[in-house]
Amino acid sequence: MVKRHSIQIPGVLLDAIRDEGRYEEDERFKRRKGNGGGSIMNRKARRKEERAERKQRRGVKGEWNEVDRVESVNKKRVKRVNFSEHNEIRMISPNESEDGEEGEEEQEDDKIDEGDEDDEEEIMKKLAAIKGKKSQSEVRTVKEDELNDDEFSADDLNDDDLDDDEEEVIRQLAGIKGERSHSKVRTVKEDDLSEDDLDEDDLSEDDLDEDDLDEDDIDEDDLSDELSTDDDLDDDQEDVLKKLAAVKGKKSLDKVRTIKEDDLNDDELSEDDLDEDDIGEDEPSEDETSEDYEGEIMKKLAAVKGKKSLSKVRTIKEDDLDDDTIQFKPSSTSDDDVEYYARKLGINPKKGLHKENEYDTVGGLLEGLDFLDEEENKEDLTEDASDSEYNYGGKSVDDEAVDYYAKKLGINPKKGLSKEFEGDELGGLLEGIGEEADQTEVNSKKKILDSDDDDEDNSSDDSSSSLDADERALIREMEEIEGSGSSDSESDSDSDSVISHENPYVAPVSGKYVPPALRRKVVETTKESEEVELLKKSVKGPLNKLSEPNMLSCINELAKLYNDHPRQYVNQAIMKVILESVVISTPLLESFMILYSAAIVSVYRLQGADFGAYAIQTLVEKLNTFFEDESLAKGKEPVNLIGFLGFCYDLGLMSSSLVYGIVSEKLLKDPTELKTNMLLKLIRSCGPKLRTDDPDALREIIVSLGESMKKNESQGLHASTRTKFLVETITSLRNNKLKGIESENTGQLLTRIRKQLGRVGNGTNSDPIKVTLDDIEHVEERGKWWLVGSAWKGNSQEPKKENREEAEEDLDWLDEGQADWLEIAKQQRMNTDVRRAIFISVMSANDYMDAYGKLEKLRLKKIQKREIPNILMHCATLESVFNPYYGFLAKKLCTDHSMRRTFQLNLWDVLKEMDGSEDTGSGLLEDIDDNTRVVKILNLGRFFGFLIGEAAESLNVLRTINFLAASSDVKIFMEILLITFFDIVGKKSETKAFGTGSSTTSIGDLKFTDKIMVERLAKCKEQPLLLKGLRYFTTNNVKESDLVKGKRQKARVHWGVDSMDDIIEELLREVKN
Amino acid sequence: MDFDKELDNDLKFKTSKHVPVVATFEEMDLKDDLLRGIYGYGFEAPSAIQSRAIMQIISGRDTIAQAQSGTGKTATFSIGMLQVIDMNKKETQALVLSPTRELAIQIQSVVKSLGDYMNVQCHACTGGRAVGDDMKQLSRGQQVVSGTPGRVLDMINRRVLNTRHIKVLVMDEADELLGKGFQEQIYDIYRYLPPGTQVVVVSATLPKSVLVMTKKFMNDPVKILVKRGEITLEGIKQYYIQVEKEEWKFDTLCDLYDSMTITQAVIFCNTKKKVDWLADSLRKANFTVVSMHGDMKQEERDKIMNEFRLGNSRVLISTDVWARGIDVQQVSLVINYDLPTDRESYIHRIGRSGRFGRRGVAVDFVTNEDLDTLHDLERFYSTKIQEMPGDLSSVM
Repeated sequence: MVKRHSIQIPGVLLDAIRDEGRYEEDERFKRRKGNGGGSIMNRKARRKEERAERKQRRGVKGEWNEVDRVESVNKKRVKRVNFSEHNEIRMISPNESEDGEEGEEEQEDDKIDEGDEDDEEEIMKKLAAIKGKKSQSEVRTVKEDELNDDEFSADDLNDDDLDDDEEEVIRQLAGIKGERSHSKVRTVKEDDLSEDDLDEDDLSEDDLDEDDLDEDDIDEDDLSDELSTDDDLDDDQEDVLKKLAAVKGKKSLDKVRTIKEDDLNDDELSEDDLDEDDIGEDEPSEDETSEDYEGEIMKKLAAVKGKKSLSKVRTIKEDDLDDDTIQFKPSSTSDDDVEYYARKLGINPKKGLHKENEYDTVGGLLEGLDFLDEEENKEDLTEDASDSEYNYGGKSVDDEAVDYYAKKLGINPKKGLSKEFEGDELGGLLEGIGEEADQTEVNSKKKILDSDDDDEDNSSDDSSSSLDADERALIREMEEIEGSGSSDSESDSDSDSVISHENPYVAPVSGKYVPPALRRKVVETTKESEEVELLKKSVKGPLNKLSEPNMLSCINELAKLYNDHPRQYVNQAIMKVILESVVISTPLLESFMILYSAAIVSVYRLQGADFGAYAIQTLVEKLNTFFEDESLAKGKEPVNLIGFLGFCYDLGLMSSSLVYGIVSEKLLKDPTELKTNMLLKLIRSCGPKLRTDDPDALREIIVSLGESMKKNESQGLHASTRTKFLVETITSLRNNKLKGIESENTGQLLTRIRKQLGRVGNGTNSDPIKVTLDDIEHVEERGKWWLVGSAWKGNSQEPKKENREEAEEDLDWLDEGQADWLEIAKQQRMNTDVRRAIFISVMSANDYMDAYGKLEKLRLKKIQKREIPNILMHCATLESVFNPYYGFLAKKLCTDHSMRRTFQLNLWDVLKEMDGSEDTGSGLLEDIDDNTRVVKILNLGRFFGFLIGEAAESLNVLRTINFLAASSDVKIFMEILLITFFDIVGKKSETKAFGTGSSTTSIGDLKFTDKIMVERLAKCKEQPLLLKGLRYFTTNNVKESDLVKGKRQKARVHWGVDSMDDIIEELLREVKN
Repeated sequence: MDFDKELDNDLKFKTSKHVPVVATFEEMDLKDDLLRGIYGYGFEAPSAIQSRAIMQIISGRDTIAQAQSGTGKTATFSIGMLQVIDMNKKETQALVLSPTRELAIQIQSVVKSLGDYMNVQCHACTGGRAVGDDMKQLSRGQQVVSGTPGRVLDMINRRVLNTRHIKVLVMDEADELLGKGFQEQIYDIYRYLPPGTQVVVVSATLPKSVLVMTKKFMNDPVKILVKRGEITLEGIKQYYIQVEKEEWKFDTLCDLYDSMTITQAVIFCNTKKKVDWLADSLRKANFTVVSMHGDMKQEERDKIMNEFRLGNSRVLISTDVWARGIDVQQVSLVINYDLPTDRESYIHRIGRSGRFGRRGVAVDFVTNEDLDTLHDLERFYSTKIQEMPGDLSSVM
């Protein structure tokens, strides 16, 4: 954890430093910029990595060697370039001392350098001696010089870098190189802060170089030209070894000894390398080089050990490390370089830490280190190999490399800091590092942490061709080890690098535009449902516990929620949780379905229709989503849902119309396997109840099912046994033979649950909700049917039109129960509400009693009632044939005196109108042609004849008629009226002839009694004029009227006229008396 | 306890090679009426044992079928039997022997339901009922007779049960039947059967001694063993909840029930005492709970399991002892109230066979002391047990 923190802070600091632009002050830096092209940078970076891996042995030497190599082998220019770059980087690092410490560092460095230089000189001497054994040092130097020259000529790009390197080499080589112009430039650079370090490095490098040269010579002798590159690499390794040896020499008092050992090691290593090279001749040169690196690494490790012993060495290294970190920053000129350096830095610091650790806890740690070294050597070797390969690949894949490096950069700053803090925290840190190193080594074969994954990716990308999985793993391990001091920091730095673009003090807000739909979604999912979520929790408890024994208590808990929360939220929560439990992809036990549906039904009974309706709506809507897209259905989800719906129905949540609607409109349409299964499940769950509730609907369904089956078969689709089974099941359901569908357990449970439900609620809400599928699907258009006042029907235009068409099509709208009476009323010019109401009541009634009831219900006032006869007469005249219905209705109405009076007055109006006085007419006979006028008059005549004959009106009403001067209309009217009158009275007066059957009486046998006729006429006693008129009119016009139809009527009319004649005569006589 | 060991010992007993798997009932080419009966019974697709054994029984070969209880063994031989029976003959053509009266009656009802559309005559011939009734029924002609050995042998001896036309002899729970108590009777019955009678042996467990015995009366039997599938942790989401203290576990459990959607759950404790205590506590908290542990008799456990399977109870609390015997496949949530003491039980508790693609969630309650055990489990099964996420509803 400590590491992380330390890392992050340095990152910030580094940025700050960078911003200050100190780095750019360096002359070297500028030069580099000018000299080193982009391509060079990469190479440098690779180089640096290699060096770092060599554990700060100042891979400089290796670089030098590489430079040499470049000279000798033109093919591997790239590598060379890298090496040169590395050198440059090193050079730069001294300049970059952190945070104003530059000066101090420089001084320190100088001091150290001096010491080092001394040591170096000594080493040089030793080396020289060694070299002398092998070959003459001069020769070597000469060669090197030559090589340098070649490089310069070959690689224009690297000139400066190379120059620097060369200069260093030259210096180290005892001024031989110094003769060249490059050396001047170098010296200038060296003057910079880092000179001292560089010098040291250079010196050691030089020594190494010398060794390398020797080796080179040897190699050259042994190996062919192809191998020469390898040899160079070997040389590099050797150089490294030498460097390490030098370091050790510095550390240990017995410089000579160490050097010798180193030399020996080097020799051995080199030999090994050579052998390897020989073996690997056929292999790509890169592999060979990698092997060489391995050798180098070995050397490094040895050097590390040596370092442990001497503190100076350590400090020097640390300085170096600092320098390196600093260097990275300047290198930012080219991103690639920067990243590359960063990586190296990461490695270096760790090494530094290692050393420190060793220093602090020299005793115990040394042993571990030895052990570690041994392992590390192996690992390092492979790692180096992979790294080197990686580098090569990296050339082509700059971008990836860049990323990779970037990570390392993040690490660098931290390292710088860690160094500063080393005094304080070094102890702890080092220990931690040591442990980590151990662990990493132990776990070397395990996969690497996530933080390394990126690195892995990079490496794999870069070196996928050459790297095996093992190699990759090794690389990871290496990285871990390297970063062990900062492994955490690495990952942190990674994240830092990503986050660094954000303002750390402001929450990351995506400023992008959010479409309204999305916004709503957000609101729905968060704000509104927040309470629902809370509620859900309190709902889940009872529902999760719900079982048969504790059902009532669970339901009580649910019901209590309604007291504390908005109803709608509770509704939502309950349904959401239940659906979650029911709509699952595995088959749900029926007992649970029953329990959940029982819960819904109970809550419905307790809470009222709005929950029930909401539940139904939710269920059906959910179901519809499955029908709309069957692919949405996972596993048994729809089957579970429909089974659940079935049980809800079974327990009385809804009426059968909804279930039948689902069956006929959904399940039977375009049957699929899924729908078949669902239908089966539905029938299993609620089949018997379906049958009881609506056998007709079931029959229809069976018919349509059979049809679709036939259709399928005709199309060649063979119904599966399963479908057949379905059909049979439904058929047996119709025949009430369904058995065994419900398992015993389910059936018993259902029964018990029903009983329990009976105790729930107060009985007000125990009826199933009568809602249809159509209603639910059109909630949007029609409103919520269950809320009083929310539903509206007029919104949809289509039904209206249909009705109008119907009305127009069906003239016989009396039989059409559905006729739009309002429309018809308008057509009949019913211009006031009262009139319309009366009209509709009259016309829509089933019979005259119904009509009378309806009229009564209108609760019309007296004046308003007067409209009734008007309308009734109007309706009566409209009929093409007289409809006794109006007569009966009028007769019923005439039990009321005012009604009778109104009818009477209306009659007089009509008579007046027929007489031609237009002003007071009722308007019944206006503006119509003769035919319809006659029809109307006949209808009216029959109407009033019926009334008078039935004694609803007395004959007195006819007193206003002047029979002598009557118009033709009135004559026709009276004619039909009196005929009807006689017909009715005659019918009533018929007496059965003795001994004949009731209905078979022949006309000849008809006998009439005069009793009724006497009663009727007696009321007209006061109106002798009327009586006389009647007598006159009946005998002249009625008796032989053409309007009399049928023998029976004729007989009655004859009798009526005769008897009326007689009776009137009687009455007139009485009056006279 | 025996159960486990036997199961392990039986690993030698393997399914014969080349036993085809028939994936649907349709493909078995069954009689139409039988197929309808199967659908009517509520089956949609054959179970593992059914998909293998039915066809072998129909083919007329002697068959040994071993499968866990609750995997549809009874239906397996019932379907095979009904397919083989000639409905035109009234004589007894199939004889089913089972060790208990209840089982015999249960088999009768299964056969009747499956043969609902075939008008099959099936009689349960068990002790404890009037012999006269049995005789009356049998003389009327029963195509299938399901009975206990004693009464069946009696009926044969009385010449009421005519064995001449018997084609199939089925022995359910064969390990019991072929054990000491019934051996003699079985042997006697077998002697009456016509030579070449097909023998079908069905059991959940088949000890070696029984297997040896089957060789005496079975002719090159097809062996079909449907193991509990390899129990795997595949498809199981494993979570742990750090509850720190033992006392906090109960609250955690209750909170889980308030936060997740749980249809049914099995909770494992390590001791009988704890099982009882937890069952009591949960009952007080208004849960409907069943519990079982090693002290209970087999019948009691079967009853409890059955109750749990039927959904009469939503929570089953059990000790480790019975982890292997519990068919938790239908249960999606397993809670380790205590971490198992040995590593093997862990997989038996929460694991399930991947064959049915069942997914599940396992939640471990971990106290501070248990952390090491948890890591040990993780390592042992090289699996990852994640900490329970805060959004519990996303877990299920």
